[in-house]
Amino acid sequence: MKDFEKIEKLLKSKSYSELSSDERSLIESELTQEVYEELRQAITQVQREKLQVNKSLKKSLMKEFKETNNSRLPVIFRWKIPALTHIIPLVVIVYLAFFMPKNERVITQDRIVEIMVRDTVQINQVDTLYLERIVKVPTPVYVTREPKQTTSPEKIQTVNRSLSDQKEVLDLVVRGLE
Amino acid sequence: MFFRKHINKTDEELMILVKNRDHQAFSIIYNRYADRLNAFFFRMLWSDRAMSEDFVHDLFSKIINKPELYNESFEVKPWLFRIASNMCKNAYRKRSFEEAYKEAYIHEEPITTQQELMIDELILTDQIHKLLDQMGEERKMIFLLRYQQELPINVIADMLDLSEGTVKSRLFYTREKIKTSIKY
Repeated sequence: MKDFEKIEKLLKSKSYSELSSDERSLIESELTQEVYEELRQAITQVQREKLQVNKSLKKSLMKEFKETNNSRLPVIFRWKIPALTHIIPLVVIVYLAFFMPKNERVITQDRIVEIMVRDTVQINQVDTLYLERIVKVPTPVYVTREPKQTTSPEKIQTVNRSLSDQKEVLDLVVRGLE
Repeated sequence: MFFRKHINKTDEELMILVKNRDHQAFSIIYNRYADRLNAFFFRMLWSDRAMSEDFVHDLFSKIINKPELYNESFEVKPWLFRIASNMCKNAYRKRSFEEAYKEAYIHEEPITTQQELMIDELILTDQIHKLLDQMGEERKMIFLLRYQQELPINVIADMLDLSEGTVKSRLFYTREKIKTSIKY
């Protein structure tokens, strides 16, 4: 395959009549003039050939591309209904396998268990805490004497009077109207 | 403005965007390669225009539905033509089965319409079709990848799992074959 590149370059660039004598001798070592011309014609025509695709083909492909890819929904929502029909029985089977009550005999037995219960009390910034309680203190009660009258009409009059005035009033009360 | 930004991107950058569902990137990739692929399919698939457009559609449809087939390490152009070559190989295989079936079971002359006869006539007068028709499937593919799509020898060799020397010799053999067919 020596001179492959050279022959190829000549095939692409020069017709047989344009070849120099050296180039012709190189070509003739591999090909005849007729074959050279045929090959050159084939290569140039194949290179020139532009076959435009029908425009409707692009439209249909673009439509197909958008239909296939434009859905922004997550994969699970793009599943078609037949896929869901397979999933629903699967979910039911999983539910039955794990969550159905098992057919076991239940034995109940009472026993006393000590349980420590802790309550948490939340106090929001206590300012003043009022404690109310009733304290029962034993007190002596004199039952032999009549209970002393705590207030007397005279005493009421002593209010807002001077000591000398009070004394006169007392004398009047003790002595009476002599 | 967004579209302009896309135009300056390489094929590889665009394909990554296509994988991320960017329809503008897909549109640019299509514009860059649809006509080239159409020309390749046209010459590979017996100069049948309708068939070549169907194949272009199928190829891009594959990209739409399975963009994950593209690996970031691939160069886009050889990757696209590798897919196209494989599609052509399948078409040849299918055609050979059909012909074998026809030979084995159908002995009647095929009925051809006037339009088909006209197309046949056009094909017969098409010099390139004649030349390419003389090549085998693989040599025609190498010839078109090299001279129509201008892929480097090493890339063609990599695409078709051949050595560079084999690719060159097959191109050379193409010439030899043409030389022989012209002589006789």
